[in-house]
Amino acid sequence: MRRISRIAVAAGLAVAALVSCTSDTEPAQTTRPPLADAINVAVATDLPGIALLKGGENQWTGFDADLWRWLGTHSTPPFRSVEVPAATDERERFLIDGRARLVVNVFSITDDRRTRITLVGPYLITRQGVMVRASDTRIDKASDLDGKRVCVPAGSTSLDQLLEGPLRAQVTIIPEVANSTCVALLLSEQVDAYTTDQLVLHGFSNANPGRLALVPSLVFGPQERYGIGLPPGDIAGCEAITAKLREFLTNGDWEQFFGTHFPNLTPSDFKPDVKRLDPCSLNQTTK
Amino acid sequence: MDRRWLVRQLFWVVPLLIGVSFLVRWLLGLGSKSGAITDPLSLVVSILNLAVSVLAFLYTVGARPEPVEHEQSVDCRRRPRPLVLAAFVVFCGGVLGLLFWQLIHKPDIQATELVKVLSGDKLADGSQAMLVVPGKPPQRRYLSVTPLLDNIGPTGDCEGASRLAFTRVIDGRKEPPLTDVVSRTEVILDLGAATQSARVLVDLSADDPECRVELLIQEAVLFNTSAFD
Repeated sequence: MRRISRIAVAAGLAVAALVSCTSDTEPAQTTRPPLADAINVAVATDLPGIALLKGGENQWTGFDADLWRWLGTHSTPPFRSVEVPAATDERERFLIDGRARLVVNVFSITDDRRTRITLVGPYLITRQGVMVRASDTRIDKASDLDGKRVCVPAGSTSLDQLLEGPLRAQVTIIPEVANSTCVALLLSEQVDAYTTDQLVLHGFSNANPGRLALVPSLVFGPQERYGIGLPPGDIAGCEAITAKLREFLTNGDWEQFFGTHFPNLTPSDFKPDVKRLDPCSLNQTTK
Repeated sequence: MDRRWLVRQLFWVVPLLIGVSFLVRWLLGLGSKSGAITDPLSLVVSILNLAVSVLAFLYTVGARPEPVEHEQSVDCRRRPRPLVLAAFVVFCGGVLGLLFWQLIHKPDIQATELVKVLSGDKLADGSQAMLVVPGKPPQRRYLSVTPLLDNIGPTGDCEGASRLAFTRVIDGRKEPPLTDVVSRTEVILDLGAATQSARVLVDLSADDPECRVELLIQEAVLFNTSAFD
């Protein structure tokens, strides 16, 4: 009899444990390291003004570089960023397979990307632009690009905009993995133009004075709103970094960093409204 | 206390607890907007609980071994009385509950498919769409609506860069707007004063003028917060 009562009690406890399990409708909580100690941050290496790696020194300069270091020192608890170079088309994969805990790498927030990873921001806003050699006066408006060879970074929203936007079927698209390759192709006259975010183009233009120039009248497509990438479903991380971004956008550090790296641009053209950062709830569909 | 008797009780108490635990877990999972289901079920559960408690008490009294010296003095004719009383209480509880839920309480109306969206298929900054609330007048006082902005284009952060303003139009009269609503966020609109019709104007404000979005209804529920609304 004692045995039977033990079995009955054990069965009751087992079922009670089953009942208390989480339901199928709730997303599974994936294990991820906390935003503390040393974390991998996926970054660019070849973008002047944004994230440029000085050869041999393992030191980055630029707005994005200042931002990931700022986040590290201002977070609670603070963390040390371990920079992991990531090409444009590798950024999402780094977050999904765990090679990076954060992406701070001219990473445009899009509704499509938000279904696969978590995005926080924006912290910078820009639009698509076109750059040509400073000496090339052939291209001034969209129709001037007819039949021209245009380089664009692979895996970027710039390529999506070129494929879907007003310039599609008008140009020959040359996708390249690295932005710096597009610049090299443009300078060596292997392509006629290079298109990506205006802010990135301004960085290259500042680094190559007199050799490269933006086409002022060629601005197209939806805004590119740079955000910080987090692994799928990291709502707690999203809330924490959104709070930090609000501080960053209001305490004067944003203006200081922007003025340092883009002294010839008007900050208000690129600064997001701190009251209208994307709500983290939009990321909850990510698995 | 007789151990065998105690073990016998476990055979029906444990399954009962397991069953109730599963039921409660399921009811909790249905969420607040399923009040129309959870409330009557909770009532049924509470009535069953009462019935089971009463019957269990009677069963226990009947099944528990009495001391030998009192065996001859048990009056079997006294047992049916509590049984009849318990059955009467259960019957009254059931009838009263049924009357309340059928005649007084108005259950929620799932209106996701019933709320019509007019001019919401290609909204840009400054555009306006309209929600037509079903019923003339609407059959419940409140409308809970969760809007969803679907980016038409392949790029752009259009859902995050957009905010909505909801303006109720009750019997043709505009009410103060509810502003700064984000996609996928529930808003609750009071339609209480409507005697003829209720509509809702939805104005889109987008940071990005190039964005084009479609306004969809993720969920809409017409409900009352009190049985007497």
